[in-house]
Amino acid sequence: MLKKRLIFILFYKEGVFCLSRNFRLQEVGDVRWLIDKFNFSQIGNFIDELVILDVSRNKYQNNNEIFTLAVKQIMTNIFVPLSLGGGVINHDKVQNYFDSGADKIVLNSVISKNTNFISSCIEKYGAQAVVGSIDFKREQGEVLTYCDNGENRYLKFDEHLKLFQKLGVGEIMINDIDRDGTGIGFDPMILNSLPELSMPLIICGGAGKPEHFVEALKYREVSAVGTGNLFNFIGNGFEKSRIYISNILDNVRNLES
Amino acid sequence: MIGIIDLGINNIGSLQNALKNLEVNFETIKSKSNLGTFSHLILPGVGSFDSGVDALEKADLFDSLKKLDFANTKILGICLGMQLLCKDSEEGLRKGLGLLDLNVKNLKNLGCNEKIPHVGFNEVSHCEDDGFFKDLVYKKDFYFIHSYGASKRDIKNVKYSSVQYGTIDIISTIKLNNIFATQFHPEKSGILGLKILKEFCTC
Repeated sequence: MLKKRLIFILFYKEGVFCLSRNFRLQEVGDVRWLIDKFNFSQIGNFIDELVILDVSRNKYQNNNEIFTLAVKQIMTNIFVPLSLGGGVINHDKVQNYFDSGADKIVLNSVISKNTNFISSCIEKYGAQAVVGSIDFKREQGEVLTYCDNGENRYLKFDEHLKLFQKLGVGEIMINDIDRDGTGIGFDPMILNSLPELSMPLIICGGAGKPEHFVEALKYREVSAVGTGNLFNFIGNGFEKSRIYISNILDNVRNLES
Repeated sequence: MIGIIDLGINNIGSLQNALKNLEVNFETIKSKSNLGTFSHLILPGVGSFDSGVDALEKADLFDSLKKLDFANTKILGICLGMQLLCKDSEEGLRKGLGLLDLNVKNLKNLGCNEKIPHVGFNEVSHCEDDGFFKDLVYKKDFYFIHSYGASKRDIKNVKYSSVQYGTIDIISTIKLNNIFATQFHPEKSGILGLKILKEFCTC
């Protein structure tokens, strides 16, 4: 039985890891701070995957060396799958991310500009290596999606999901802009209206405590939960979450015993 | 000495980090060298079967590995590395190293009714007593990412473990004397994966 996953998401901007709240970034600390506060050799037992997103202004540069160096520093002591994203608009960038240790790349805004590029990534690296990411918020009773760090309105939520499905990405990650970084939990309205997809779905935006992960993971449509909340899970927060989740759900990775 | 075979087509960074973390000394092998001087070899791999065979040939390692006396050298194949140890694969036209008498097949052709690729942490549900993997893998979760695999049905003389995925059982580890293989990625499977690498390097 394939297990459901808990994913830690890191936002990197110009040398600093940030807490994202409603997509506004608060600078928290550099890679030394991060490594000091999150014992990566330990949390590898409690999280199933790591996602690191470059949201720097120069993210479109083919090789943002300071970013990839930070990635390598983090990955020295943690042995879980890694996804990298941010500024992926061409194959040089994709190759740079794979060369930096990524198992998967995360594609977000490029969908509104060049869907052929997404198809070509899937063709070249396989669907399992491509994660489609969707940012959404509510507006006048509708759920709408946004590209470019939540700046440009794009599609209706269900249309965006369908487009990624049609393109055949390996996984879809959805981020709730309204709940991002709030710690109030995932939106039940969204959880209750998730469609059955042909690929795994990762839900992010709102988790603040272990109970929130369980609430979402109970849904059949949800394969994984993600959080980028740098404060709520600092120290042994992921260990506590993991123990809590494992006590309630049996379709998650066994804890080392 | 431990040798990691670097095919250049895959990222071996996490494997190198894992061995460093375990304080295991190793050398990276990029081209033909005296493989017989290594006590342990690790053959990792990501990518397609033929690209793996091509890379081995290009590095002048294909024949050296095929002819190596595995009485004195242990080898661990990881993911595509495991498949390259087999005879052939439905994924490609080239012949594998043939150290294991197995054919690699598309999971669909093995009757898999689940989503392909098989990606994520899955639990080893069955393991024969092979004197190595049993305690390390049985009822434990490891990270898989693959569309092709060896089938339980083809197993003859090797000891194996398997993982259940939908309606089929996929081989997760193989042991035949000094030939070891994992379909999953120990270097992406947390502490449990590190334990396997440590045990291999010290066995």
